[in-house]
Amino acid sequence: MTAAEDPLSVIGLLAADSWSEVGSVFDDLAVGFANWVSARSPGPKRWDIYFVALIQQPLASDKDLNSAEDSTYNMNAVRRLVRAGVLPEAEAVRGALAPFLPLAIVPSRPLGDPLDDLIASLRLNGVTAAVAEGAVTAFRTRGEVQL
Amino acid sequence: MRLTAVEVEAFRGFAQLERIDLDADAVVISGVNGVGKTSLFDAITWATSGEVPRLGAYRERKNEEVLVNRYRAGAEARVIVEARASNGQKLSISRTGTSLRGALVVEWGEQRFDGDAAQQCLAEAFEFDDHAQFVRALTDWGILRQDSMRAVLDAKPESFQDTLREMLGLQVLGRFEESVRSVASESSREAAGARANLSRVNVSVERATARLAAITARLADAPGASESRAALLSALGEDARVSATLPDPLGTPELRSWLHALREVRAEVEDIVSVTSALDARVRGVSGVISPDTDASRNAVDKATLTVETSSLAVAKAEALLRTAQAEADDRARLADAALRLLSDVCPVCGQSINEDHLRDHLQLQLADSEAGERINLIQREIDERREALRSAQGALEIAKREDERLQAVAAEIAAIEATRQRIQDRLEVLREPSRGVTVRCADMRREGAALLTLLDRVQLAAVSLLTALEASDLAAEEAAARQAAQAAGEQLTAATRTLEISSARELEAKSVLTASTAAAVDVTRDWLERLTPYFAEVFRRISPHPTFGRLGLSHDVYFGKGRSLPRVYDDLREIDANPNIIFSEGQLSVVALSFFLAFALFARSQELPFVILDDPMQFMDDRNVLGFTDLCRMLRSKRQLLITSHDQRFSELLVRKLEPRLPDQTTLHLRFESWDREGPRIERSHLVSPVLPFVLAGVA
Repeated sequence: MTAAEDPLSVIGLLAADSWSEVGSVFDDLAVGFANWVSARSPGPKRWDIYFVALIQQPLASDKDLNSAEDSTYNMNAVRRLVRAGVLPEAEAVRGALAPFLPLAIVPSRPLGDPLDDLIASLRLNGVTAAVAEGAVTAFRTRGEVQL
Repeated sequence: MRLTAVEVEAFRGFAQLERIDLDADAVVISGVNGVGKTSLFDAITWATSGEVPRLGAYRERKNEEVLVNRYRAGAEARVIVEARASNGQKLSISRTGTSLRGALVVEWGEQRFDGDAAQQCLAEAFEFDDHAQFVRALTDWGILRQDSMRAVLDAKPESFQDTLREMLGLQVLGRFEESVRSVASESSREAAGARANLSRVNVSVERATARLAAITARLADAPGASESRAALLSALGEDARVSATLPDPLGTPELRSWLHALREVRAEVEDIVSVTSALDARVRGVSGVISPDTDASRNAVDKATLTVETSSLAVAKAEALLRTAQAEADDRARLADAALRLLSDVCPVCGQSINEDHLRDHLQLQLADSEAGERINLIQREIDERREALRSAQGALEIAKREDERLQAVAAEIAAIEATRQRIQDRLEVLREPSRGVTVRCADMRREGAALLTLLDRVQLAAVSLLTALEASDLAAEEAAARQAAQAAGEQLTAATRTLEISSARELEAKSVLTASTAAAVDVTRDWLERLTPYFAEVFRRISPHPTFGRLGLSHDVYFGKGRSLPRVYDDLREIDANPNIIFSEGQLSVVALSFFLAFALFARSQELPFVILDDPMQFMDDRNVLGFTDLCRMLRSKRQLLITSHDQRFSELLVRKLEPRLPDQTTLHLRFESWDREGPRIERSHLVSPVLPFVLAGVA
């Protein structure tokens, strides 16, 4: 188990291969972690204690699914999160811990002028460059297409 | 840019002037329903856009006042929104008026604008190209109302993409497509017109070619005109009377008309000759009869008639005498017969038997031989003589009548001949008119008629020959005109064919561009939505409202030629996807709606609003989703100024706790709308301070 903290949260992280390994003790561990943090005078952060299970295997059975759901709806002392199907890779772990990370997604390609994209798409759909650009330019300047 | 304050007066739930501080990167607005929270957002919307779209649907009348506070009737609403740019420059947006009219004044630094300039200044201050774009951004993704986003989700599948397109500003693609469709329709009409025109020109060319061929064929058979003219003049030279009727100038139509008249004259002359010949025969029939004495013959008839009548009378008289004599004889016979019946079978005198038959014969013999019998015989002979005389008189009468009838007939024939001769004279008078040129006396007709007919025939033949020649020369001109017309038609055909080629090419190109435009609009929309999909998914994953459907995205297809996008949630483990509208609860759908909205608000366009207003976004969420959402809000505040309301006391407290400043540059404002009365909301304001929080795990090994 690993503990982490930032200005917003105190997080306990539990990694396991399957939910069946930790499901039965998850709540106890979560409460134990909350008590451990609370004992250290967290102040307002007492509302920001999280206990996260990172499970490599997906929750394949309904039993595991129900068990994990029950745990996340148990809000006693600590906010519980169960992230299943998380491969031991940085990107997967980053996705699983997204609620604690800033919104920092950068668009792969910014959304610009749709008419520029339209020219490119017209060409891909078989319109010559001259016709595509002429049509869009006329539409831009006069509000109507000219061919 | 950050909103720093709002002043509201006489607007919606605010009767009295209220100044509300908003100068924080997170503003939590709490309060039960009906205390003025939404009025505050309406005020911001009205001041910046000039309208409050959500109220439009509730108007009972077009001119119904929906903005001015009910307790300030007659007053004008006034809202001032203040903001501050990152460089410290202040922006003041002031709108005064009613829902029917309002005046905007914008102060940007030291400058003051009103009217259109104020709108443009406002747009530029928020880094938009124009005010319309700014208003669209504000109403589409600046302010989230749960019901409006849910309305998007609840839209029919075919209109869901339209709504997303509109939110992305991609409706320009639809307008482009419509414009191409219009061009395609126009080019189709032009091509159809060109096809119809080509068809017409083809018919003209066929006609012109056929006419030219016909004229050329006739021209090949035509004799020379000059020879024919000389022949006609020569023929006419024999008779100056007819030649005088020849028109001058002598063109084809004149000659054709003259020839027609000549044919009529010829027919007339021929008829007159025929009639004259018949008349001659009739005249010969009555030759020698100078003046038949019809009066004498009539007298003879009358005389013979009188003789017949006299004879008839004499016969009748004799026959009457005969009848009298015979009656007397008959009386005697009857007397004798009666006497015979009185006789007995035996003579009373001699006693001999009496033979009645013998006695009857004897008596008849005696009677016949008597005087009466003689008289009857005499009368009978007289009757016979008189009858003979009568027959003779009747024969004479018959002869007289026949002679009379003959003479009468001769007289009638002579009269008829005279009448015919007069009619011929009249017809010859007509022929003598200058236009006919035939001067022949009736008496000369028998002698001159045949020669005249021969002359007319000859002239007619020459005229026909000349007419043919003239027509032939006309044909040459006609052929030249027809050739020119055929050439012009050919040129028209070339031009029409070229026009059709151009029109067809344009039509084809326009159809091709239209097809490509439809496909391109679908592609661009899909591309844009796919580029946004990671953001939908990211927001959705952070809240994670469903145990198995953990990923949110969009599916795209083309349905009846139109691009269609639908929200989808995916269970990646089982590789199952579904439309969340069908399988999600209200609370889970709220998270879906919020995911779309925040993705649009944060990432959709390069021109973004610096704030996000979330009006009671948690109303359908359960506790776990609310916690997930508040965690999201903690991250959201670093991207946009966050203004968020909740009517739920518990959720409000959670928001306040979660949005307490934790970093030195964070500020949080809690506006507690405590109550509302006729003057407006009662608002408690509190600035949440940033506590110095030690790291709990500091020093933990």
